[in-house]
Amino acid sequence: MPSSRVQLIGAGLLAIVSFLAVILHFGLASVFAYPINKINLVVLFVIIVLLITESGRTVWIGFTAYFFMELFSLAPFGAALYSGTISALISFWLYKTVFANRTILTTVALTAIFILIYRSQYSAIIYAVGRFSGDIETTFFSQFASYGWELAITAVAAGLAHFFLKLFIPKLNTTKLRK
Amino acid sequence: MQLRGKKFVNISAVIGVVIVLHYLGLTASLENYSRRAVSGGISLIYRAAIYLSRKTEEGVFPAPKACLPGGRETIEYQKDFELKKARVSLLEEENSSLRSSLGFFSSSTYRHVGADVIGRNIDPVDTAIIINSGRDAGIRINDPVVVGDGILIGKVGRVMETTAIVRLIDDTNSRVAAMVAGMNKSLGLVEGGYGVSVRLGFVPQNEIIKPGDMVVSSGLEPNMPRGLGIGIIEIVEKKPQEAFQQAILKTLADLRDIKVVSVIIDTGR
Repeated sequence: MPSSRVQLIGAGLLAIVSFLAVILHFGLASVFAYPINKINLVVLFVIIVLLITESGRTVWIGFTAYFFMELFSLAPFGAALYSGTISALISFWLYKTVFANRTILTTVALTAIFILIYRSQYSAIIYAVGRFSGDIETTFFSQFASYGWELAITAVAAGLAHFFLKLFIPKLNTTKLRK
Repeated sequence: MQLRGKKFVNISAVIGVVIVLHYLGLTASLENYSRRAVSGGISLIYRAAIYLSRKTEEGVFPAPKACLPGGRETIEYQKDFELKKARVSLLEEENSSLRSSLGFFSSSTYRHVGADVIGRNIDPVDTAIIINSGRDAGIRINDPVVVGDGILIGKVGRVMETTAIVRLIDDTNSRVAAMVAGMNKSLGLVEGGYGVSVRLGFVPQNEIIKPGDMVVSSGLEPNMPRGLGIGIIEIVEKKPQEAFQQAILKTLADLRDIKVVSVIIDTGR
């Protein structure tokens, strides 16, 4: 099969899995009660894909997923797309260079770092846009409690997901990364 | 390091181009198709989630009993019967909600658009629901959204062609000017808290409010009718050293279980 066609199929698959992750993220929000509904399934999904594929394509999966997320967000267009994609890129670099292993602890730490970077950038963008448009929300900083729940619950869920996926994906049992 | 910098710049440039194309309206059709596809999926999961939670609450999935003579067929029949019963109960509830809405709107001059809830967004920043009517149906930003007999559940936060996102009253960024039912003046602001609570704030210390009082919209904002039910005061928090008192409200509608809404598109004022 020509490589261009393989790439096209790969891109299609990438869009489909991102699409499914976003549907699950929105759909399952109504299933769980607070604070478990603060779980960020898109971040969890991006981190698990990164662990399995170890590929830079994860960044584009993040890009596609956050593009779909933007379609249903009340925030200005681009805030989630930029923050999410750049967080995926930084997480990928950290995974390859700093962590350089595939333990459950790495998964938990990487998820927490992803959310930390994502929410920092996201908050900064919303704050900047708010200042620029003169529409600053007074309770903006009070949302950090909510971010805390998101970080804690998603990180724990990522650790559990890694633990259970190890049973089905032998690759996740090896702690060394592909060169 | 230089390679990383280059990648960072490239990816930022791609994102920048997508954002610019969005604001120029050049990605509108792609976004609409994507939105429709995602909405369909979300709607399915949302409906299934509500359906399952109801059945769990009603105990519709009882533990299977030991097989009696007649065995498997009887159990299958019983399961099928219980599922149908649950479906009928859901439809009855939806019907009752639609009848109350009909009663409310037939006795008012408001023009409204009915819509189904197709999903929910519980981002730490937004507590919102997604509905299947949008700009094409005449919905605009900040239009009030009600259920049943005129119970306010939120305001439209974003409108697309065929869908809209409703910011619920328990969202941290939600603000509605409100008063106690029967009063003639605006009393304070109803604000949401992290998607889990609703409170009435900015109430002057000299105003008398007490648990059990009904809080309604004061109609001070554009497009917002006066008298839409919001909640009942549960606790009053009054500290002498503060300029304002506040109250925690119990919302009249169950914000986690909304299936059909009406958007008031014209108050006739």
